[in-house]
Amino acid sequence: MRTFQLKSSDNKIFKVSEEIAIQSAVIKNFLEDFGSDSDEIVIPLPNVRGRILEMMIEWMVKHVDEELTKEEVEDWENKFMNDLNMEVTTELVMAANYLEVIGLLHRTCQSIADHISGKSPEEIRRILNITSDFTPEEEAEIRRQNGWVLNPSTN
Amino acid sequence: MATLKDLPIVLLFEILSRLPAVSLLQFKSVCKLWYALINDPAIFSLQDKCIYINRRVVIDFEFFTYIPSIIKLSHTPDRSISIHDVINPSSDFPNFDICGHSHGLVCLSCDRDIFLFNMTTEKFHRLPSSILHYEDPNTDSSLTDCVGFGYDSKSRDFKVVRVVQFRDLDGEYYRPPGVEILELRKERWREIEFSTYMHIMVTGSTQVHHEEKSYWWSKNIEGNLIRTFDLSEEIFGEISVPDNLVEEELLYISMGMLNGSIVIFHGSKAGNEKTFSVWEMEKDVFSWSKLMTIGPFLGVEKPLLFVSSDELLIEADEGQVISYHVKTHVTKVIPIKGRPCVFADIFCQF
Repeated sequence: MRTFQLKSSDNKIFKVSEEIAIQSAVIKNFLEDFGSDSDEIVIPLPNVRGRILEMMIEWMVKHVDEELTKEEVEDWENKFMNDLNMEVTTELVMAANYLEVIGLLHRTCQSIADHISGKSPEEIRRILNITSDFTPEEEAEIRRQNGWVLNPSTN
Repeated sequence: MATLKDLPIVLLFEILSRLPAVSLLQFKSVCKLWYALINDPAIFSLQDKCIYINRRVVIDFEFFTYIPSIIKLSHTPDRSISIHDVINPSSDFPNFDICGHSHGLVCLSCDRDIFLFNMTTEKFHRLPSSILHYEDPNTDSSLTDCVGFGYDSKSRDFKVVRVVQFRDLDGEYYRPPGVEILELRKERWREIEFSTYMHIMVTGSTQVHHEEKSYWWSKNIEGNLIRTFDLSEEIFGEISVPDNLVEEELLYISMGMLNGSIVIFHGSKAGNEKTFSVWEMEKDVFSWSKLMTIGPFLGVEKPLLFVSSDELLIEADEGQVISYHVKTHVTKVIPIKGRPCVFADIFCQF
């Protein structure tokens, strides 16, 4: 099994095996195009900082572990996601998208969706630090359009 | 530190598209960017899509019956399908039809009544009674002919259209059909002029709603055709059907969507085996081409809908939902989550 090195934006080096790293479609393509038998290959990843890359590798290691059952992997995923705050999850979305780690991308997007689902627009703005660019009249009109759909009891 | 504001729009879209319709509608007022994203119909690609199937219920060891059930489709995190039984409205509405659904609202028709069902809150909303003038109730056997439901972006409101055939006890039409329209915000029916005679008789899946138009499989003297109703302009239209389906007495017909185009499922039977051909309507030119033939199948009731270009959901004879891959022909039963199929005593009366 070949191993090689991933280098993060803050110059941290991680040694990984091919089996683990090819869960990233981008790394897989890179190895197909530039691969050699040498262990000396260093793949620079200037868009991902070390802390995030470490977490991605942790994810990829769990997903090639053949000793784990499907349920065990799911339990691990849930715990992994629960321990993250929104900022780190968002960074993982971007990193998973950049490196095309599809399973992680789906899981992190779903996690953010679950987190914001059911919240009010005001809460969303506060959590995500978004300033409304609507006038109060425009905002009232949008809410009026939603009518019965959102307030079944008021009619 | 990254926040959602830093995400490329395509990733924000990916996240928003996983939200239930009701959350999405509410989030329109977050900011202008979100408003624009959520107004893109593609964001509602699968959420709150629903199907209507008959599930087999065992009353006791000797008897069983079929009860209507609304099944909701959603994505699992990896974008595969998961399905939930939202409701068995069996005791209240023994015979209802789904007349369309949009943004998480389902329109149900039952006799002369129309209900909207909010899939997130699971609440029913009964629409006001019809304003059409029926004759003496003792001699009237009028039928709701067809119902269309959808969102009209021009009036920015949901609309329901209902066509009624006025019939007496002998089944004779005593008057041209009546057409009424309701805008959800106003909660009031108004009648629109409609003079031409027409006959639609729509049941369940022989209709589809696409881009603010309702399409109903229908019939006139020359044979089968598709009637349309533009919810925004409030005008009727006609589209011809594939040549070989015009005059035929059809065993099974339903309509659906595939890759943004309207499709017809035409079913035929040989012995106990059913085969379905799928016809696709070319956009704007209204011509048809045969896309594929699926089957023959044993134990299949009908095709339900395409969840992707290759994956078709099918209803089996006993109300199970089967996923069928049209290229690899792999089938698998999709478990229905949520409330278990009821074993209700009330069905003993049948």
